[in-house]
Order: sequence, then structure tokens, then C-alpha cells
Amino acid sequence: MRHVVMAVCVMSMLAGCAPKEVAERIVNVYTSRHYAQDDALYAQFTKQTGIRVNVIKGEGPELLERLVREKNSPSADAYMTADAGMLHRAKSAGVLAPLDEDTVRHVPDRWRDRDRHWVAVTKRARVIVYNKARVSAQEAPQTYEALTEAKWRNRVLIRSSGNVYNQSLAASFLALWGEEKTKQWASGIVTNMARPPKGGDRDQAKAVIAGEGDVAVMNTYYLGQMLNSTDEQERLVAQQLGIVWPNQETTGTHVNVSGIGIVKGAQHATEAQQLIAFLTGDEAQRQFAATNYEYPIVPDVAPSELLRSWGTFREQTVGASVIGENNAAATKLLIETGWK
Amino acid sequence: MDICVRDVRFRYACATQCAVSGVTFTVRAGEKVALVGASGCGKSTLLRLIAGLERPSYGVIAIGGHIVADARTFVPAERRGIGYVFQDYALFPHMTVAQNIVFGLRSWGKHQKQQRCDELLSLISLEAYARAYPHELSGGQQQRVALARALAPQPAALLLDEPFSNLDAALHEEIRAQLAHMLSRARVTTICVTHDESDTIGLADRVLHLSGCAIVEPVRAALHAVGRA
Amino acid sequence: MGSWQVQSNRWLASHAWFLPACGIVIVLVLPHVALVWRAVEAYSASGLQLVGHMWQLMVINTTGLLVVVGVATACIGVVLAWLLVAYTFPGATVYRVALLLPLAIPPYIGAYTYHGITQYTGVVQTTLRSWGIAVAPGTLDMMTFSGAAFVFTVFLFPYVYSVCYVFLGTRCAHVIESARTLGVGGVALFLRIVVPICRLALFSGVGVVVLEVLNDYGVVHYYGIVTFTSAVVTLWVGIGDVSGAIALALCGMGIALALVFAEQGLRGRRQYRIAAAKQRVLRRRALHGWRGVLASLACAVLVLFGFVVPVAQLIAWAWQMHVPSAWDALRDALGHSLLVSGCGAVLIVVCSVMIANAARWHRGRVGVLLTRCALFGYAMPGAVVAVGVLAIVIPLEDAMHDVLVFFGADVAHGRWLSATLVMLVYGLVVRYIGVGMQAVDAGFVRIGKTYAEASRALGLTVTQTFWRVDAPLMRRALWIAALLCAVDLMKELPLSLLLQPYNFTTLATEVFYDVRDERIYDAALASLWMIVLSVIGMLLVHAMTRQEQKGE
Repeated sequence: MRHVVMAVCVMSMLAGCAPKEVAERIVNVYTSRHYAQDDALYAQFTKQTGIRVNVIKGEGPELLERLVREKNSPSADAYMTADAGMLHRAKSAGVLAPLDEDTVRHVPDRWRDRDRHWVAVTKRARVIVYNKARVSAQEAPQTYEALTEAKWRNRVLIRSSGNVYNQSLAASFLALWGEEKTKQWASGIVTNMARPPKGGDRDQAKAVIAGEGDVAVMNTYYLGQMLNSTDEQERLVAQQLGIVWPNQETTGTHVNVSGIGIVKGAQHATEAQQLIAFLTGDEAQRQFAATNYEYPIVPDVAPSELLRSWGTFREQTVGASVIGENNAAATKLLIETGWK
Repeated sequence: MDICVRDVRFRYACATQCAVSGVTFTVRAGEKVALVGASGCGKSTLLRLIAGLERPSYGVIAIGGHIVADARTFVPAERRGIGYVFQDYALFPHMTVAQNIVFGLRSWGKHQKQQRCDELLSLISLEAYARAYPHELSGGQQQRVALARALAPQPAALLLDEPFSNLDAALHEEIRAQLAHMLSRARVTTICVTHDESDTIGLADRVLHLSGCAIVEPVRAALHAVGRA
Repeated sequence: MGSWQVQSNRWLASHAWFLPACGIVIVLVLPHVALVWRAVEAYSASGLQLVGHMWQLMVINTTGLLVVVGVATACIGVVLAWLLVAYTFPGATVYRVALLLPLAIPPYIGAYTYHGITQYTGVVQTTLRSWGIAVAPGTLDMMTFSGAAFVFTVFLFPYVYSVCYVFLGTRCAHVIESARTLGVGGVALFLRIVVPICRLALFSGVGVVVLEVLNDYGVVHYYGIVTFTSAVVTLWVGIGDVSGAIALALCGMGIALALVFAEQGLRGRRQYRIAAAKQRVLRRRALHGWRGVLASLACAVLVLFGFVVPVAQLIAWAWQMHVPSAWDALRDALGHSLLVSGCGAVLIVVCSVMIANAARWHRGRVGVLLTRCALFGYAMPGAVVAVGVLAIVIPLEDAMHDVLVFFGADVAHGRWLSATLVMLVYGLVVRYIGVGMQAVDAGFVRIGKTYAEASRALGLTVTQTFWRVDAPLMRRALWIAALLCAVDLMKELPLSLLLQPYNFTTLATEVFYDVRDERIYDAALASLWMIVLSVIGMLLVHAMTRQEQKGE
């Protein structure tokens, strides 16, 4: 008897957490982005349209596994994740459906999948930073290739090959240079590393100022975060960094995206289309740019003041779909060169 | 060696009543004494005090004329050289019978250890079990091993705590006879604690009655012994 | 006919626990079966070939970490347990509790905090710089093999300490006393009696540590150390080879379980279970002078590194954030954390009791098998277990929908398991049933079988005996099991991340979101809350363990 009572209690507690099935319009999102800004935008979307946004925040690959399992009748309507590689993986797993042309018309071709399976929402540039006290602006490496030169031996700081930003960087090189040269580049970086790769982007910047190395590859997003950190020491570090937009004379600086797609068989596809239109719309784009140190996707929206102060730059012309498609090959290549 | 206990009192940390209050008696060298009393009257505690496992709150204990416990001195168990056979034998479960027996012979040579072990195994008639583990033995056998282990370092005295409590009745007589035989061969000062006076027949030269935490015996002899020390 | 009925009734009554227990075990093992299926189904050699490029490093680092952390925690755990069981010295009463506290801090939070303290912008280096002392780059680096080993040791040693402490304190007094009457004391006593006697407790404690280290991803990933689990994740996250990742994880589980069970083979005929007529608490002796100071210092160092330092740093970060509004978001996470760990812990204890009690009356292979199967989940990375759970729950939902439709019901395809807490709680039970089983089993061993046998001899069934005799005697043991599980569930991360329902954040996931984005400062407040709740749990466990010891 006591078993039964206990079971009933547990079940009713569990049931209390289920989303209520009322006539209310909703959209269910799986996302690997965990920013307060995203939550604020969902709230605004709900206010504008009356559509409630339910979110599961997790890791890209793991949420994808959940989507693959739910293929027959997905509970999610949209899948949002950072990195083009992840978006492409979702596409090739067959869990995404094409977006309406109308939804994404205002987004430049480069920032959406060639079959409209996903569209980018924001982008970040991968730049080179250096210690202003030890490296002059002239001396600083002006290209990604320059990092492999002999004079940077034991002076380069970069994250592990497990990091998606590095994978996408290599993926873009595969498209631009082909396999042979990309492999040479990766081996060159491995030779020049100041220490075995570890830590996050911020840790690379700090190691540059600490003197473990002299140049680092990092994401603009984290640089913005550091410059506005609550930690005074971290702000100090960021202020001592010089920033280089690599490959301005040649192929352009590498840019990676966060993107979103509609799940195949979604129950609330219309609402999901609306959400995507909203997120790529001017207002949302402006807010992403203003508060999250990310670059807007839509050309009419200007980046935030901080980002503008770093100057404008030429982007790589490689489309995000290509980067996504090359991701797996690039990762294998990095691991094979001994990049930890 | 003489064991002399004078006005010893003891109280457990959280207890309100004394487990032992003002006990005085003397056991002469080579004598076999049985302490008899109802359960819970502090017999076992008295043994633990003599062995050095507890420190008396008051009183004096002397062994062989040396004071081992009083208000200032306290010689801990490992330096008293007294054999103790625990009620549940406390054989080391991870050691064989032979390893248990030679455990206390730390400074002995390998050969001497072997010899002593053989001696004791023959004393307790368990020669065939040298390599068995304690849990592979019967209760009576375990008790004999415990006795051998306590006797091995040639202790100044031997303390037996309820030696028959864990044995079944059918074996009772036989084991008591064996124990008496072994003790007489070992020729060592012995204090045996039991709740049943009939158990003491053949085991003890003298029986002391412990009642209401106090003793029970001509006091003069005890005082005399301490005075000599 | 009549006699058949009587017989079948009797059969049912005698299997009243066995059959449900089998059912529970099957339900708990299903995800693992699904994993094997998933690994075989889409197996490709290419992923594992890739692992070939790093296998040497992987093997060296993994075995290195396991050996170093295993040995270190074993030494620290048993030495401290012995010091605190057998002696009194300044501060000993406080240390008895305080040495449990490091368990309240998950190693991944510890790793981030220690890196934060020692890095270039951290408090140590900035202070030194302000004194004009330059620290050569890389010298204070936590992100190394030894740094990771330090973090694991300092936060995991209480697993060993606590089991050894309870074991030495309750079951060994007479053995230790008899060694003393034989003239053995001090260090010799410790080495010849205490360590061997502790062996069983030691192995179970170190076993938990080994599994925790083996399945950790947070620490090794952040510190850039290639290990077995990071290879699993590289396969999955890096190149999307889920099958390869699962195959690798299954190999790991095989090795881990083999290690755990190998100990039983090594034990041979020797026995470590001590049967004592009376359980006596060992009389503590005072350590005076420099010995006392040394013992006190040793404990202080561990409490300092394992709890005080990281907590102080987290408080400093939380203070620096000064955002009072963060409380609103945290309140939900706090509630959810309590809900999940509460539900999970209760279910785990219920399942553990079902299985352990069935196994108790069903000696022999089947009984042992039941308890062993329950351990599978604890021997694998949480994320991998989660994939297995998904592979069971989602098809089940689909099938139920199909059945409803077949019978003409007009229902929408509801994700009534995966979109609710059911799937998450199920996953947590699968992963952590081992923890509960261990605690519940310990409870059953402690009360022994005699009371229950007496009750059955008086004509009560197994079920009646359980409610009338076992349950009242086990009351505290069950609470302890539930609290231990709750503390573990509170800290759990990868599984919750993958199986959570919509709009559901716990303290652990809240911490993860910030930490993954390198915003460790923002994570401080949530981390502190998690630590506070875990500390409360640990203190309750401690209080109950003490009561239980006194009760005997």
C-alpha cells in the first residue's frame, strides 16, 4: 500500500512539470547557446507574438543525438547551435527541414545553408592577438600562415583540436587551400606551440600576457567579454593585447556562426518559422550585437560600439555550409597532425 | 608475576555510574584465579584495566611490583606484556593460524618463531591447522588459537574473558578440561572471568567474587604487596 | 487443483520480492543493452582508427591518473581515518566532520576554481606581482597532469576516508586491542593490522574514486589532458561518431568492472569480514606535543585545500559579481535541483531495497547477479548512459502512441516521458543505483540476517518481515543512502544536460552554462548554492552515521 502511495506521489510530482497541453501557441527549441541575451529575446518574441518559447539548453552533439532518436515524432521544433560544423552534422543526420524562402530572404547567401536547412543568427571572428609589450604592431603575424613561421617557434598559444572553433578554422582552410597545405599549416602550428593546448580562449589570452607565449588565436567574443569583465585583472590583461585581423590582403579573416534550423516533422513549424524570422530580424540582430559581443548577420545592422572600435575587416568568402561540410575531415586532419 | 589491584575505580566516558568502584585484590605469581560475578558487574572492565586497554580513573595497578597505572603513570597495553584472550577471540581474519600465533613475537628470529609456533600448536593440538584461516576453524579451535597467540610471547600474566560463553554446551566439559590442562602446562599467572562458578572447577586455585562493583577479598595481602613495590 | 493453487500461491509469496527485483534490474539494464545495440548497429572502424593516433597518450594519462589518485586517496583516507578513530588531538572533533566537506564540491568546479586562483590574473600571482615578485610563466600552472591529480585527490579522498572511518570505528576495536596486548602499537600496528583489516573498506572507497576519475570529463577536458573519456567525447563531439564513442565507452566499462571485481579474486581464502560478538568503540588515546600538532596540521591542510580555499574563492567571485537580480533565476534552479535529487534519491533507495532484499533471501548466483548488474551505470560516463536511456525511452513513447492509435484513440503524439521529469529521473536512477545499492547493502549487512530469520521462523513472510523488522532497523541506513544519492544527483551534470525537460535548469546545469562559456565568475553563486545544499546533506549523513554507531 505504501508503495502505491509513494508511486502516486512521485508520478503526480512528475506530471506537474509537464508542459501544459492547452490551445496556447508554443515553439520548442533545442539550443546549445546559453546566454541571458537569448532568453531576453525569447521573452520579447513571446510578448510580440503570443507564442511561448520552451527551451532545452544542452550541448550541440548531445541534443542532436536526442533529435535523431525522436525522428519519428520530434518534440523540438527548432535546433539552434553554435558552429557551422554542428549545423551541417544536423543537416546530414536528416533531422532538419528546409526553411521557407520568405523567412530567410534578408540573410546573405553566405550565412545560410545552400538547401536552406539552417540559417546563421550571429557570427564571431577568429583573430590573432599579441602582447603589445613584447611584439610590435609591425612584427605581429598578419596571417594565419605567418604563425607557422620559424620565428614564432614556441610562442604560439591556441586551444585543443577538440575545440569547434579550431575545427572550423581548419575546415575553412581545407576549402581555400586544399588538404596538403592545410596539413602543413596544422603541423606548423603544432611545432610552434608554446605549450600543449589547454584551457579556453580567455586562458590563451592570459598566457600571452603572462609570457608563456607571445601570440594567440582567439575569438572576438571572448575578447569583448574580457574587456568588460567584472574582474579587474582580466580587464587589465585584455587591455594589454594587440589585435590583428588576419589575412586582410589575401583570403580574409575566418568567421564562424551560430545558426538555427527547423526540425523535420516539427509540430509547430509555423511558429518556428516566425521565431527564426524574428531572430534574424533587425531588432534581434541589433540586440545580439549590442550586448553579446557578436557580429550581426544582416548587413544593415551595425555591430556594437566596442566591435566597431576594433575596425572593420574583410571576411573569408567561404560559405558557412562549406565550413560545415568540411568539419569532420578537418577534425581528423588536426588529430592526425598530433594537435592534442 | 604478582598482579596487584588497589582501590581501582573506573567510569565509562558517557556513563553516570561507575563500571568498577574501589576494587582491591592480589594475585600471586603462578596463581590461577577466577573472578566470578553476575553479568554487567564490571568483570570484563576490570580485565581491560589490568591489560591496559582502559585507564583507571582512580587507584593503583601493579604488575610484578611495578606500578603500571596510577594517577601519574599509565603503561599502555602494548608495553605491559600481558596475554589477553578476548571473549570473541579477535583472531586477525587476514592471517593464518600460524601467523596469528607468531604475531606478538616481533623481535624473535625466524627460527625461534617457527619453534615457538610449533610448540604452541602442539600444546593446543592443532598442528594440522597451521595454514588455515580463523574462519575455517570451529569455535573451540578458534579459542585454542587465541590462547596460543596470547601465550606465545611468554606473558607476565594471562587474562581470559568469559572463555566459555561462545561455545556450545556439548563441548563445554571437554574444552574446560583441555583449557585446565593447557594452563597447568603453561604455568602462568592467570585471571579468568566468568559468570558461572561451576566453570571454575579445575581452572582456578582460588575464586574471587565480584558483586556490586566491589570486592570481596582480604585486603591486607593486597596492601602488603603494593607496599613492597 | 486445490493443491496446485496452494502451491502457486506459495511460490508467488516466496518470489514476492524476487520477481519485482528482477523486473527492476531488467529495466535498469535495458539502456546498456540499447548501447551495445547502438554501437554495433552503425559501427565503423574509421572513428576508432582516429583514436589510434592518441591511444598511447590516452592509456598513459588514464592509467597514470587512476594510479596516482587511487594511491594518494587510499593513503590519505586510511591514515586520516586511523588518526581520527584512534586518537584525540587539537581540533579532532571538528576534523571528523570537516574532512567530509570536500565531497560537496564537484571536481569540475574545483578544477575551475583552482585554475582561477593560480592563473596569471588569479589572486596568488597578482599578489606576488604587487610585492614585486615575478612568477616565471608556467610555474604555477594547475593545468597539468599533476594539477589534475591534485584536484581529484583533494576532492575525492573523503570517499575513502568516510568508509574507513566508519569501518575502523565500529568493527575493529577488539582486533586492534588484541594486537596491543600482544605488544604491537604505533606504526607497526597501523601497517600490520589496520591497513590489512581496512582492505575491504579501502577497496570499496578507492573503487568509487577510480570510477569517478575514469568517467570525469570536466576536469581533464579543461586541463587539456587526453584520457579515455576525453577520447570518447572527441569521437562523439569532434567527428560525430556516436557508435564509435559508445563502443569505446563500453570497453572502458568492461575494464572498470573487471578492476572492481578483480579485487575479490585477489582476496583468496582470507576473510576481511569481521564477526564480532560485541561491537565496541575503540578507546581514543591523546596525541600530545608535536605528534598532536602534526596530526592536526595534516587534517587542516586537507580541509583547507579541499574546502576552505575553493569556497573562499567562489565567495570572492560571487561578491565581485554584485548582481542581486541573479537570485530570481537561481531560485528556479534551486527548486529544480531539490526536486530532481529528491525524487531520484527516493526512487534509487526504493529500487535498491527491492534488489538488495531479494538478493539477501536468494543467495547464490542469481542474487549476486542482481546486485552486480545494478553497478553498470556507475561504470560509464554519464553522457553515454544518457544515450542509452534515450534509445529506450523514445521508442517506447513511439510504440505506446502506435498502440493507442491502433485502438482508435485520437491522441496527439505526446512526449509524456521525455518532455517530463520521468526520463531524467529514470536516467539518474540507472546511473546512480550503484551508490544507493552500496549504502543499502551495508545497512543489510549491519543488521545481519538473524532478526529477519527469527521473524520468518515466527511465520511472517519476507514482506511482513521487511516492514515489521528490517525497515525499522534500517531506518537510518536508508536515510543515509537517500542523502548520499541526493548529494551525488545534485552535482550530476552530463546526464541532466541531455535528458532534461523543457525550461528546466538545475544548479549544476546553471553552473555549466556559465563555465562552458568561460564565465566562471558568473557561475560562482550557483556553485555556492550547490555546495551549501551538499554540505547540509553531508552533515545530515554524518549525524545519522554517528547516531547509528551509538545505537549499537
